[in-house]
Amino acid sequence: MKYLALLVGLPYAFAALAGPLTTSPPTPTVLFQDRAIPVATTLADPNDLWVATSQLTEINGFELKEEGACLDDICVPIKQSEDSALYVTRRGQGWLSVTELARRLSQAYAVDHDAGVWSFGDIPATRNQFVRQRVAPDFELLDKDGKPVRLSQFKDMKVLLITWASW
Amino acid sequence: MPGWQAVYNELQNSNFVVIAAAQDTGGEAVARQWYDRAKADFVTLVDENHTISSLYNLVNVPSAVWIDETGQVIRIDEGAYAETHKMGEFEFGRNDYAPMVTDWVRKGAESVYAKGNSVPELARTEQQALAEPNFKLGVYFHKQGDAKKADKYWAKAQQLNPDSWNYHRQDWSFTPAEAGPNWARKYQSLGDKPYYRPIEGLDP
Repeated sequence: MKYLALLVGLPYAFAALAGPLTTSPPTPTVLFQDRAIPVATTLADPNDLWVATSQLTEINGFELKEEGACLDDICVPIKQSEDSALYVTRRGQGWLSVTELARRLSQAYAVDHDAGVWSFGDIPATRNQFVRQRVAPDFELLDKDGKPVRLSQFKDMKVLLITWASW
Repeated sequence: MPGWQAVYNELQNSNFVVIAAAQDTGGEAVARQWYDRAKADFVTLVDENHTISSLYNLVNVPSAVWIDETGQVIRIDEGAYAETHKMGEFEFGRNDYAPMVTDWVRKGAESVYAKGNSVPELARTEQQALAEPNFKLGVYFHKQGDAKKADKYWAKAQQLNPDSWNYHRQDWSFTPAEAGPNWARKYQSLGDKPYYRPIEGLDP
Protein backbone atom coordinates (compact mmCIF):
# COMPACT_ATOMS: atom_id res chain seq x y z
CA MET A 1 0.00 0.00 0.00
CA LYS A 2 2.84 2.27 0.93
CA TYR A 3 4.44 1.60 -2.46
CA LEU A 4 1.20 2.33 -4.24
CA ALA A 5 0.98 5.72 -2.55
CA LEU A 6 4.53 6.36 -3.60
CA LEU A 7 3.72 5.47 -7.21
CA VAL A 8 0.63 7.65 -7.23
CA GLY A 9 2.66 10.53 -5.83
CA LEU A 10 5.40 10.14 -8.41
CA PRO A 11 3.76 11.97 -11.34
CA TYR A 12 3.08 14.95 -9.07
CA ALA A 13 6.72 15.06 -8.09
CA PHE A 14 7.67 15.10 -11.77
CA ALA A 15 5.04 17.72 -12.53
CA ALA A 16 6.50 19.91 -9.79
CA LEU A 17 9.96 19.45 -11.26
CA ALA A 18 8.69 20.25 -14.74
CA GLY A 19 6.80 23.29 -13.48
CA PRO A 20 9.38 26.02 -13.97
CA LEU A 21 10.26 24.67 -17.40
CA THR A 22 6.79 24.92 -18.94
CA THR A 23 7.36 28.48 -20.16
CA SER A 24 10.23 27.44 -22.43
CA PRO A 25 9.13 26.52 -25.96
CA PRO A 26 8.89 22.84 -26.94
CA THR A 27 11.68 21.29 -28.97
CA PRO A 28 10.63 22.03 -32.55
CA THR A 29 9.70 19.27 -34.98
CA VAL A 30 9.85 19.69 -38.75
CA LEU A 31 7.48 17.76 -41.05
CA PHE A 32 8.81 17.54 -44.58
CA GLN A 33 7.91 15.02 -47.27
CA ASP A 34 7.18 11.82 -45.37
CA ARG A 35 9.43 12.53 -42.39
CA ALA A 36 9.18 14.08 -38.91
CA ILE A 37 12.54 15.54 -37.90
CA PRO A 38 13.33 16.78 -34.38
CA VAL A 39 15.24 20.06 -34.49
CA ALA A 40 18.37 19.54 -32.40
CA THR A 41 18.91 23.16 -31.43
CA THR A 42 17.31 26.46 -32.37
CA LEU A 43 17.26 30.23 -31.71
CA ALA A 44 14.40 31.84 -29.80
CA ASP A 45 12.09 33.54 -32.30
CA PRO A 46 8.29 33.80 -32.05
CA ASN A 47 7.76 33.79 -35.83
CA ASP A 48 10.54 31.95 -37.58
CA LEU A 49 12.32 28.65 -37.30
CA TRP A 50 16.10 28.78 -37.16
CA VAL A 51 18.25 25.69 -37.54
CA ALA A 52 21.99 25.26 -37.14
CA THR A 53 23.61 25.09 -40.57
CA SER A 54 24.94 21.64 -39.60
CA GLN A 55 21.35 20.32 -39.50
CA LEU A 56 20.11 22.05 -42.65
CA THR A 57 20.53 19.10 -45.03
CA GLU A 58 18.73 16.74 -42.66
CA ILE A 59 15.84 19.22 -42.39
CA ASN A 60 15.11 20.01 -46.05
CA GLY A 61 17.86 18.61 -48.27
CA PHE A 62 19.55 22.00 -48.79
CA GLU A 63 23.30 22.37 -48.47
CA LEU A 64 25.07 25.52 -47.36
CA LYS A 65 27.66 26.49 -49.94
CA GLU A 66 29.79 29.56 -50.52
CA GLU A 67 27.15 31.04 -52.84
CA GLY A 68 24.14 30.20 -50.68
CA ALA A 69 21.72 27.47 -49.69
CA CYS A 70 21.48 25.02 -52.57
CA LEU A 71 19.45 21.98 -53.58
CA ASP A 72 20.51 20.47 -56.92
CA ASP A 73 20.32 23.42 -59.32
CA ILE A 74 18.26 25.66 -57.00
CA CYS A 75 20.41 28.17 -55.07
CA VAL A 76 19.21 30.91 -52.73
CA PRO A 77 22.06 33.45 -52.36
CA ILE A 78 23.37 34.05 -48.82
CA LYS A 79 26.07 36.42 -47.63
CA GLN A 80 27.49 34.58 -44.63
CA SER A 81 29.68 37.50 -43.51
CA GLU A 82 26.69 39.52 -42.27
CA ASP A 83 23.37 38.91 -40.55
CA SER A 84 20.20 38.85 -42.61
CA ALA A 85 16.62 37.60 -42.35
CA LEU A 86 17.91 34.33 -43.77
CA TYR A 87 21.22 33.83 -42.00
CA VAL A 88 22.82 34.91 -38.72
CA THR A 89 25.94 34.06 -36.75
CA ARG A 90 25.21 33.40 -33.05
CA ARG A 91 27.00 31.44 -30.34
CA GLY A 92 29.96 31.09 -32.67
CA GLN A 93 28.05 29.31 -35.44
CA GLY A 94 25.82 29.93 -38.44
CA TRP A 95 22.00 29.64 -38.29
CA LEU A 96 19.55 29.58 -41.13
CA SER A 97 15.89 30.55 -41.05
CA VAL A 98 14.15 27.69 -42.83
CA THR A 99 10.87 29.65 -42.81
CA GLU A 100 12.51 32.62 -44.57
CA LEU A 101 14.08 30.15 -47.01
CA ALA A 102 10.60 28.70 -47.61
CA ARG A 103 9.15 32.15 -48.28
CA ARG A 104 11.88 32.91 -50.82
CA LEU A 105 11.14 29.58 -52.53
CA SER A 106 7.37 30.15 -52.40
CA GLN A 107 7.25 26.90 -50.43
CA ALA A 108 4.03 26.59 -48.42
CA TYR A 109 4.26 25.87 -44.70
CA ALA A 110 1.95 25.72 -41.72
CA VAL A 111 2.89 25.79 -38.07
CA ASP A 112 1.40 24.81 -34.74
CA HIS A 113 3.23 27.17 -32.40
CA ASP A 114 1.99 25.58 -29.17
CA ALA A 115 3.43 22.20 -30.07
CA GLY A 116 6.35 23.64 -32.04
CA VAL A 117 5.52 21.64 -35.17
CA TRP A 118 6.53 23.19 -38.50
CA SER A 119 5.05 21.49 -41.54
CA PHE A 120 6.54 22.24 -44.95
CA GLY A 121 5.01 21.55 -48.36
CA ASP A 122 6.81 20.59 -51.55
CA ILE A 123 9.33 23.06 -52.97
CA PRO A 124 7.70 24.50 -56.12
CA ALA A 125 11.00 24.61 -58.05
CA THR A 126 11.34 20.83 -57.65
CA ARG A 127 7.95 20.45 -59.38
CA ASN A 128 8.79 22.58 -62.42
CA GLN A 129 9.73 19.63 -64.61
CA PHE A 130 6.50 17.93 -63.66
CA VAL A 131 4.30 20.96 -64.25
CA ARG A 132 5.95 22.07 -67.49
CA GLN A 133 7.25 18.85 -69.04
CA ARG A 134 5.21 16.14 -67.31
CA VAL A 135 8.27 14.48 -65.80
CA ALA A 136 7.10 12.20 -62.99
CA PRO A 137 8.37 13.61 -59.68
CA ASP A 138 10.44 11.18 -57.63
CA PHE A 139 9.42 10.16 -54.10
CA GLU A 140 10.54 7.87 -51.35
CA LEU A 141 8.08 5.95 -49.19
CA LEU A 142 8.19 2.83 -47.05
CA ASP A 143 6.58 -0.36 -48.29
CA LYS A 144 4.40 -2.52 -46.04
CA ASP A 145 7.52 -4.23 -44.66
CA GLY A 146 9.18 -0.92 -43.81
CA LYS A 147 11.59 -0.99 -46.73
CA PRO A 148 12.24 2.39 -48.42
CA VAL A 149 11.25 2.48 -52.09
CA ARG A 150 11.96 5.24 -54.59
CA LEU A 151 10.21 5.74 -57.92
CA SER A 152 13.60 6.28 -59.57
CA GLN A 153 14.47 2.61 -58.86
CA PHE A 154 12.10 1.72 -61.70
CA LYS A 155 13.71 3.83 -64.38
CA ASP A 156 13.55 2.15 -67.79
CA MET A 157 10.30 0.38 -66.87
CA LYS A 158 6.69 1.26 -67.45
CA VAL A 159 5.06 2.12 -64.13
CA LEU A 160 1.40 2.05 -63.18
CA LEU A 161 1.24 4.12 -60.01
CA ILE A 162 -2.07 3.61 -58.21
CA THR A 163 -3.36 5.19 -55.06
CA TRP A 164 -5.99 3.47 -52.98
CA ALA A 165 -7.26 3.58 -49.40
CA SER A 166 -8.97 1.37 -46.85
CA TRP A 167 -11.50 4.12 -46.03
CA MET B 1 -6.43 -4.84 -55.70
CA PRO B 2 -6.87 -8.49 -56.79
CA GLY B 3 -7.78 -7.07 -60.19
CA TRP B 4 -4.49 -5.22 -60.49
CA GLN B 5 -2.63 -8.31 -59.28
CA ALA B 6 -4.18 -10.22 -62.20
CA VAL B 7 -3.05 -7.51 -64.62
CA TYR B 8 0.42 -7.59 -63.10
CA ASN B 9 0.60 -11.40 -63.36
CA GLU B 10 -0.12 -11.14 -67.04
CA LEU B 11 2.38 -8.35 -67.73
CA GLN B 12 5.19 -8.70 -65.25
CA ASN B 13 7.60 -9.97 -67.89
CA SER B 14 6.90 -6.92 -70.03
CA ASN B 15 9.27 -4.54 -68.22
CA PHE B 16 6.32 -3.28 -66.22
CA VAL B 17 5.67 -2.67 -62.55
CA VAL B 18 2.63 -1.75 -60.49
CA ILE B 19 3.31 0.57 -57.54
CA ALA B 20 0.36 0.80 -55.19
CA ALA B 21 0.31 3.42 -52.45
CA ALA B 22 -2.18 3.26 -49.57
CA GLN B 23 -3.34 6.81 -48.80
CA ASP B 24 -3.93 5.79 -45.22
CA THR B 25 -3.09 7.73 -42.10
CA GLY B 26 -3.60 4.45 -40.22
CA GLY B 27 -0.41 3.24 -41.90
CA GLU B 28 0.80 -0.31 -42.23
CA ALA B 29 -1.68 -1.54 -39.59
CA VAL B 30 -4.63 -0.89 -41.88
CA ALA B 31 -2.97 -1.26 -45.30
CA ARG B 32 -1.25 -4.61 -44.92
CA GLN B 33 -4.35 -6.79 -44.67
CA TRP B 34 -5.60 -5.52 -48.05
CA TYR B 35 -2.25 -6.20 -49.70
CA ASP B 36 -2.08 -9.64 -48.09
CA ARG B 37 -5.63 -10.53 -49.04
CA ALA B 38 -4.93 -9.63 -52.68
CA LYS B 39 -1.64 -11.60 -52.49
CA ALA B 40 -0.08 -8.51 -54.03
CA ASP B 41 3.48 -9.11 -55.14
CA PHE B 42 4.02 -5.78 -56.83
CA VAL B 43 5.31 -2.75 -54.92
CA THR B 44 3.04 -2.14 -51.93
CA LEU B 45 3.60 1.26 -50.33
CA VAL B 46 2.16 2.81 -47.20
CA ASP B 47 1.59 6.55 -47.56
CA GLU B 48 0.33 7.97 -44.27
CA ASN B 49 0.70 11.60 -45.34
CA HIS B 50 -0.90 11.14 -48.79
CA THR B 51 2.45 12.20 -50.26
CA ILE B 52 1.72 10.73 -53.69
CA SER B 53 -1.68 12.40 -53.93
CA SER B 54 -0.27 15.83 -53.20
CA LEU B 55 2.82 15.34 -55.36
CA TYR B 56 0.75 14.22 -58.37
CA ASN B 57 -2.35 16.38 -57.68
CA LEU B 58 -4.60 13.35 -57.14
CA VAL B 59 -7.84 14.14 -55.35
CA ASN B 60 -9.58 10.80 -55.02
CA VAL B 61 -8.90 7.09 -54.75
CA PRO B 62 -8.28 4.96 -56.62
CA SER B 63 -6.26 7.13 -58.97
CA ALA B 64 -3.69 6.11 -61.53
CA VAL B 65 -0.62 7.63 -63.12
CA TRP B 66 0.98 6.01 -66.16
CA ILE B 67 4.73 6.64 -66.30
CA ASP B 68 6.76 5.49 -69.29
CA GLU B 69 10.36 4.23 -69.46
CA THR B 70 11.72 7.77 -69.74
CA GLY B 71 9.89 8.97 -66.65
CA GLN B 72 7.26 10.82 -68.67
CA VAL B 73 3.70 11.00 -67.35
CA ILE B 74 1.42 9.54 -70.04
CA ARG B 75 -1.92 9.61 -68.25
CA ILE B 76 -2.82 10.93 -64.82
CA ASP B 77 -5.64 11.30 -62.34
CA GLU B 78 -8.04 8.64 -63.56
CA GLY B 79 -10.33 6.54 -61.39
CA ALA B 80 -8.21 3.42 -61.68
CA TYR B 81 -10.57 0.53 -61.07
CA ALA B 82 -9.34 -2.80 -62.38
CA GLU B 83 -12.82 -4.31 -62.24
CA THR B 84 -16.36 -3.68 -61.05
CA HIS B 85 -17.23 -4.37 -57.43
CA LYS B 86 -20.53 -5.08 -55.73
CA MET B 87 -21.38 -3.75 -52.30
CA GLY B 88 -24.87 -5.07 -51.70
CA GLU B 89 -27.09 -3.33 -54.27
CA PHE B 90 -24.42 -0.77 -54.98
CA GLU B 91 -22.08 -1.39 -57.91
CA PHE B 92 -18.92 0.59 -58.51
CA GLY B 93 -15.73 0.37 -60.51
CA ARG B 94 -15.35 -0.52 -64.19
CA ASN B 95 -14.02 -3.31 -66.39
CA ASP B 96 -12.84 -1.23 -69.33
CA TYR B 97 -9.85 0.53 -67.76
CA ALA B 98 -7.49 -2.40 -67.11
CA PRO B 99 -7.50 -3.43 -70.82
CA MET B 100 -6.27 0.09 -71.63
CA VAL B 101 -3.30 -0.41 -69.31
CA THR B 102 -2.57 -3.79 -70.90
CA ASP B 103 -2.67 -2.26 -74.36
CA TRP B 104 -0.24 0.49 -73.36
CA VAL B 105 2.19 -1.90 -71.68
CA ARG B 106 2.23 -4.11 -74.81
CA LYS B 107 2.35 -1.37 -77.46
CA GLY B 108 3.97 1.54 -75.65
CA ALA B 109 3.81 4.88 -77.46
CA GLU B 110 1.91 3.17 -80.31
CA SER B 111 -1.05 2.39 -78.04
CA VAL B 112 -4.08 4.51 -78.90
CA TYR B 113 -4.43 5.15 -75.17
CA ALA B 114 -0.98 6.74 -74.99
CA LYS B 115 -1.40 8.88 -78.08
CA GLY B 116 -2.59 12.44 -77.98
CA ASN B 117 -4.42 12.24 -74.69
CA SER B 118 -4.40 15.45 -72.72
CA VAL B 119 -2.80 15.73 -69.32
CA PRO B 120 -4.69 18.16 -67.06
CA GLU B 121 -3.16 21.35 -65.70
CA LEU B 122 -0.50 20.27 -63.20
CA ALA B 123 0.28 23.62 -61.58
CA ARG B 124 -1.23 24.06 -58.14
CA THR B 125 -2.87 27.17 -56.79
CA GLU B 126 -1.34 28.71 -53.66
CA GLN B 127 -4.32 27.44 -51.69
CA GLN B 128 -3.92 23.88 -52.93
CA ALA B 129 -0.20 24.01 -52.10
CA LEU B 130 -0.95 25.26 -48.58
CA ALA B 131 -3.49 22.49 -47.99
CA GLU B 132 -0.72 19.88 -48.01
CA PRO B 133 1.32 21.06 -44.95
CA ASN B 134 -1.95 21.58 -43.06
CA PHE B 135 -3.09 18.05 -43.84
CA LYS B 136 0.28 16.72 -42.65
CA LEU B 137 -0.07 18.63 -39.36
CA GLY B 138 -3.43 16.88 -38.96
CA VAL B 139 -1.79 13.49 -39.56
CA TYR B 140 0.93 14.33 -37.04
CA PHE B 141 -1.57 15.25 -34.30
CA HIS B 142 -3.82 12.31 -35.15
CA LYS B 143 -0.87 9.99 -34.58
CA GLN B 144 -0.14 11.79 -31.30
CA GLY B 145 -3.71 11.00 -30.20
CA ASP B 146 -4.75 14.69 -30.32
CA ALA B 147 -8.04 14.41 -32.22
CA LYS B 148 -8.98 18.04 -31.60
CA LYS B 149 -5.88 19.42 -33.24
CA ALA B 150 -6.05 16.83 -36.02
CA ASP B 151 -9.57 18.05 -36.79
CA LYS B 152 -8.47 21.67 -36.78
CA TYR B 153 -5.76 21.14 -39.40
CA TRP B 154 -7.77 18.69 -41.49
CA ALA B 155 -10.63 21.21 -41.61
CA LYS B 156 -8.14 23.82 -42.78
CA ALA B 157 -6.79 21.47 -45.49
CA GLN B 158 -10.34 20.76 -46.67
CA GLN B 159 -11.15 24.46 -46.79
CA LEU B 160 -7.98 25.19 -48.80
CA ASN B 161 -8.48 22.30 -51.23
CA PRO B 162 -12.21 21.53 -51.29
CA ASP B 163 -11.79 19.37 -54.41
CA SER B 164 -9.73 16.81 -52.53
CA TRP B 165 -11.97 13.89 -51.65
CA ASN B 166 -8.95 12.33 -49.97
CA TYR B 167 -8.66 15.11 -47.38
CA HIS B 168 -12.34 14.76 -46.59
CA ARG B 169 -12.74 11.00 -46.70
CA GLN B 170 -9.63 10.31 -44.59
CA ASP B 171 -10.99 12.63 -41.91
CA TRP B 172 -14.51 11.15 -42.04
CA SER B 173 -13.11 7.63 -41.70
CA PHE B 174 -12.45 8.30 -38.01
CA THR B 175 -16.13 9.04 -37.35
CA PRO B 176 -17.72 6.13 -39.27
CA ALA B 177 -21.29 6.96 -38.23
CA GLU B 178 -21.12 10.32 -40.01
CA ALA B 179 -18.95 9.22 -42.93
CA GLY B 180 -21.84 8.05 -45.12
CA PRO B 181 -24.03 11.16 -44.72
CA ASN B 182 -20.97 13.43 -45.07
CA TRP B 183 -20.01 11.71 -48.30
CA ALA B 184 -23.57 11.84 -49.67
CA ARG B 185 -23.81 15.56 -48.90
CA LYS B 186 -20.56 16.41 -50.65
CA TYR B 187 -21.35 14.07 -53.54
CA GLN B 188 -24.67 15.81 -54.12
CA SER B 189 -23.01 19.21 -54.01
CA LEU B 190 -20.96 18.19 -57.06
CA GLY B 191 -23.93 18.94 -59.29
CA ASP B 192 -22.70 18.45 -62.86
CA LYS B 193 -19.08 17.97 -61.87
CA PRO B 194 -17.86 14.35 -62.11
CA TYR B 195 -16.73 12.35 -59.08
CA TYR B 196 -13.78 11.04 -61.08
CA ARG B 197 -12.26 12.90 -64.00
CA PRO B 198 -13.72 11.42 -67.21
CA ILE B 199 -11.39 8.86 -68.77
CA GLU B 200 -10.27 9.96 -72.21
CA GLY B 201 -10.93 7.30 -74.81
CA LEU B 202 -13.68 5.71 -72.69
CA ASP B 203 -15.97 8.36 -71.27
CA PRO B 204 -17.87 11.00 -73.23
